[in-house]
Amino acid sequence: MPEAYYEILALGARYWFVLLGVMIVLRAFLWLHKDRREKHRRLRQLPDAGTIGEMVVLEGSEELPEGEAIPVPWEGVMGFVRGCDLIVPVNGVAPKHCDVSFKNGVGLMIFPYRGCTAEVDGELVTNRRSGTEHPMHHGSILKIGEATLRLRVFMGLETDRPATMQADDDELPQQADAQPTNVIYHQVPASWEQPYDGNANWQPMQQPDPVETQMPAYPPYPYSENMQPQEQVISSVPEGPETGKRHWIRRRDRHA
Amino acid sequence: MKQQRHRFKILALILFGMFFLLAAYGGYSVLTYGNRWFSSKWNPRVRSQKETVIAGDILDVNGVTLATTVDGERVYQENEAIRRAVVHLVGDNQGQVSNGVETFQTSYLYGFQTSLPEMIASLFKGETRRGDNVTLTVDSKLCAAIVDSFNSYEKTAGKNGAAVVMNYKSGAVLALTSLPSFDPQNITEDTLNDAGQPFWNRVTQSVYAPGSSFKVITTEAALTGIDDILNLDILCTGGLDVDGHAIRDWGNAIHGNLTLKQAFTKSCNNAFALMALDMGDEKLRQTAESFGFNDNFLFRDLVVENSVYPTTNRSNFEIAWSGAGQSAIVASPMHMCMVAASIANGGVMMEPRLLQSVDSYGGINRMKFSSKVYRNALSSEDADIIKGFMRAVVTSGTGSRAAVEGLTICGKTGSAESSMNGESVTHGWFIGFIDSEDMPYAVAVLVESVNDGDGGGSTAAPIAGDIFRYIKTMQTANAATSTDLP
Amino acid sequence: MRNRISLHRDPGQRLAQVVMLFFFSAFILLGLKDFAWQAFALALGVPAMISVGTNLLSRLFPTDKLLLSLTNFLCALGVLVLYATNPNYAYQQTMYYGVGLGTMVVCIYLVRIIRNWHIPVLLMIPVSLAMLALPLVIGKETNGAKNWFYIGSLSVQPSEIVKLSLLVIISFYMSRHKMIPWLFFAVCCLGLLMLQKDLGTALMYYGTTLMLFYASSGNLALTGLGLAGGGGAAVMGYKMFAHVKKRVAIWLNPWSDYENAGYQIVQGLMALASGGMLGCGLGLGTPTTIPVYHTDFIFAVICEQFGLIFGLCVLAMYVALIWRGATIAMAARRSFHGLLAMGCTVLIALQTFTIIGGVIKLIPLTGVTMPFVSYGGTSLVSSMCLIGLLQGVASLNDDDLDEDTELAMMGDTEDMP
Repeated sequence: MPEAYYEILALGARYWFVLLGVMIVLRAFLWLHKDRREKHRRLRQLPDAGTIGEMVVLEGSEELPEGEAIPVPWEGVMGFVRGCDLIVPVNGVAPKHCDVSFKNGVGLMIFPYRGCTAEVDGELVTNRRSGTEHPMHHGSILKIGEATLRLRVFMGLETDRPATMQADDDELPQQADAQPTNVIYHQVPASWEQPYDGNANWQPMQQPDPVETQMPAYPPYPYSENMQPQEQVISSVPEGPETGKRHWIRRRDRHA
Repeated sequence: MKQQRHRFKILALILFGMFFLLAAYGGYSVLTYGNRWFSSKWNPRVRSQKETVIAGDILDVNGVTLATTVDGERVYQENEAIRRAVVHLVGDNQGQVSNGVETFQTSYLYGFQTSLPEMIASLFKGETRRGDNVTLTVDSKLCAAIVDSFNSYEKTAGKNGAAVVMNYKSGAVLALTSLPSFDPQNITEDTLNDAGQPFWNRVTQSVYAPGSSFKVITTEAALTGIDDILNLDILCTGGLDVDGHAIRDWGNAIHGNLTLKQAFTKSCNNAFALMALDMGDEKLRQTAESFGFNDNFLFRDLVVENSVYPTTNRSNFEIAWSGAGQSAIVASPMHMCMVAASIANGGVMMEPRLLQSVDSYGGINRMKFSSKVYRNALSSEDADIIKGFMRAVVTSGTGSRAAVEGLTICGKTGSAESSMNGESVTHGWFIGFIDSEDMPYAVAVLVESVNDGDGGGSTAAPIAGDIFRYIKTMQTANAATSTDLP
Repeated sequence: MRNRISLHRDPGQRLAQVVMLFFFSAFILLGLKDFAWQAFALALGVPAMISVGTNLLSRLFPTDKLLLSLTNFLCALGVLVLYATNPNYAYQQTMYYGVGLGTMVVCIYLVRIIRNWHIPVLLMIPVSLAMLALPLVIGKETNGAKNWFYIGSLSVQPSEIVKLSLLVIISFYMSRHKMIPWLFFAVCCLGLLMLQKDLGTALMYYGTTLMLFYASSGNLALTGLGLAGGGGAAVMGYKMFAHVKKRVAIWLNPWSDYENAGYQIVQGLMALASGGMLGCGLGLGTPTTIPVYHTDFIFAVICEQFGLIFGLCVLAMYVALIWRGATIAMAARRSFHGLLAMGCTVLIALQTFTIIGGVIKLIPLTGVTMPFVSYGGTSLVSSMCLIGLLQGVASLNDDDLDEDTELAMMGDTEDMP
């Protein structure tokens, strides 16, 4: 094409390209924005996303009363100051006391900072190596400073040994309207109105919603008689619309 | 982890800030300096465009052709005198004059601003593209008259110099001449090797010590910096001793008690030195900066060398002489003209502009240019006071040779001591203006290296007078035909 | 599974449409210039590759579609501009792009598969240092810097490869709060780079390390110290090295030495000015008069052909990249992955800032290239690897999110015991 014609064409095309360029930028940012919004929406439905469980305070202080539950992330810093992931405002706890890190299949490892110590299930953890050697699992007790905390791990996450005692939760301090502890806390769908009859021969109930996975019938647990049915919550995490809060399990091995 | 996430956010914000800085700086640079970079004589795009486009004409305000293209060759004004007088404005086709209109306005002259429909039209008509015609605000005959004036006086004939005439209401430049000059139609080896540097535009590219013409600024500083200065007397002893050095006046005169007006009219160095010491360097510098010293001039049509008022700590002796416009203060004739213009214009300094309009070859007006205020240099009350002083200089002071019958001329002379090539020389200055609604013009005339015993009043002032006379003649002629000067 | 009906509202699809239209029209226009069949082939090929690259790749491998789209746009822009100036470069660039995609996928899997980075990191330290030291031994000198060497006929710039291992090593040790190993490595790298006079890359290594240090430790005092130390080193470098002095002088006034040292910058500035806001037109102008127009000054070429507005759009795309990278880093579950992702983002950002800053005369010119757009095998491949690492972390994030969702839903399906 002769130069002059091409020149005119290219000069005219300038506007086109600039327009397209601007549109590309706008659409890219729009995509960013939409993606972010969707992710936020998903996260809002998963209130416990990013956490592996919680630590319940057995001995705390004024700012950290007993029974308070601190959510535990996969990796975080535990300490006195507000910037930490697990805030433990109790005497004896350093501003940044220790790192916590959960390793699936192993447990929650505690790595104290210099000059800080922690006690996991009675064993002293002073450095990195001992942190790896004494991981915490569901029910483990952590003592830092003057605080005593108990770890509860979400179902589905594995640690290197099963939860030890059934009566772990017996030591749990009671909340105002908490029920006796020998109960599996479980959110029951509203359609399950039927009371629990606590018999030894427990039969599966009529399930209004079909369940996708086939669960084996469990052998009956020994329950105490004054057990109250359903809807006991121990954590104050708000419930999402579709998926509920996470579930605790006291025991790992289900075969009594 | 929470804190780490938080810090990631901070880092991201910092990075965004850096990119924003990039975008802002890039946009600013291209918008402000774009034309200058583009017009650079090394730009290969311009060179290649020159082969395909016929360059447009450069016209003066009266329609006189200053440059045109004939058969692919650049041809300048026929009349040699005019041609040589405007060459620093117009430029030459080799780019020897930096920032002449030939180079600085390539984007118009070589058709870079042609619109798409026009290009299509010219393509279909099969003709070669032509650039736009640029009309300047300059009167080329006045430029030639200025050169004549320089040559007509014994004291200035053959000397280097610069003169610029500016409309102080609009900022339009009426004349700009620099000597020595050359013939753009005939650039020879000798011209290129001429040690006198004929390509140099002494109006905008050279800076000189302003000398006593700077006293305008010192006066303004005194008006705002020294309480009740109008009612005070300043004692001139003829030999003010500052740190062991003496300040002397022209001809070693001793003036005795002076009012500010008298000191200004007689251009008494002692008095101004005293005032400078009284006010302090800081105050004088601030006033100078409000007149545009130490600023980075970024005018649209002109590239003007920056004027400097020193910012370092100085000795008392240097401060004293600063009051009289010496000791490391430098300004270009263009800037001093703007200073005079601001006094004339009630304290408002207009930006100097060179372009009147740009028209396409077909006669369609492509761009009209408007005036722009550069800065508010001083208050209008102070401007009036100084205007009165400057009137006195012409009626009864050192600037009497600039007087023209029938016109109210105000001005200030200057004899600046400087050194060139190791020798100490004196430059003669005159800055001034016509105080009139119909003829709002300010001038600055500089004569380099005047003879011993001469000063601004005897060298530059007469030339200024000739300029004013020319303007008056033009005005009466135009009044008869009722056309306006730009 | 996306609902087929809402596909047209899918933001990724909408972006891809405009991008493909852009490249299609651009190559057609270039094709009309000389009626070269290659241009028309590219007009179909480049958009197809973009579409295939994004969609196919995200189906086959765990990628982050947004990141991939942005990257593809930038790489294709590079190919376009290179074709407009010198078609051979364009063909080579597409080849390098293919290789880059491969290495990107490898990097994605590296991040996903390696659970315990301890041993790889320990191996990387000596290997990287050795690689970085190689040019000193067998390298060839270009432009005052001795940072290349040849394997056969292929020129390799080890500092681009060591970039990746620097990120991994630093992230690993910083996430464990063990300062000594990464400090030692970083200092050695910087030293080696200084010896090779590759100051641009050294600056970037330094900047990234400092920023990651701030992110992981939050120790403002030490960060400030590091910043001051960097400033002090820069001043010392200015005083000690003559060519640094020259660079700074040229930066302040490039017209003073137009013939030699300032030539590059002046040509770049003139190109920027000639482009103006809308550019002088694709295929017009004289981009080849700019020295190193295919590597360092490619941004000047873009601004000349497409205009400043489009240049700012390209900047905005990099900003989008940074945004996405930062989002990925913030969503990471482990400190190590977060630091790694942020490191990649910071590295790309700093590199882009450095080169564009040099071209528009904001900072003195350094010898770095523009990521993705510049011609250059090592540069393109290493940038793609960085994106690969980023996508690896992003895919881990996605997996974690899916895992969380699954775990949360587990209770509903769990029967009453």
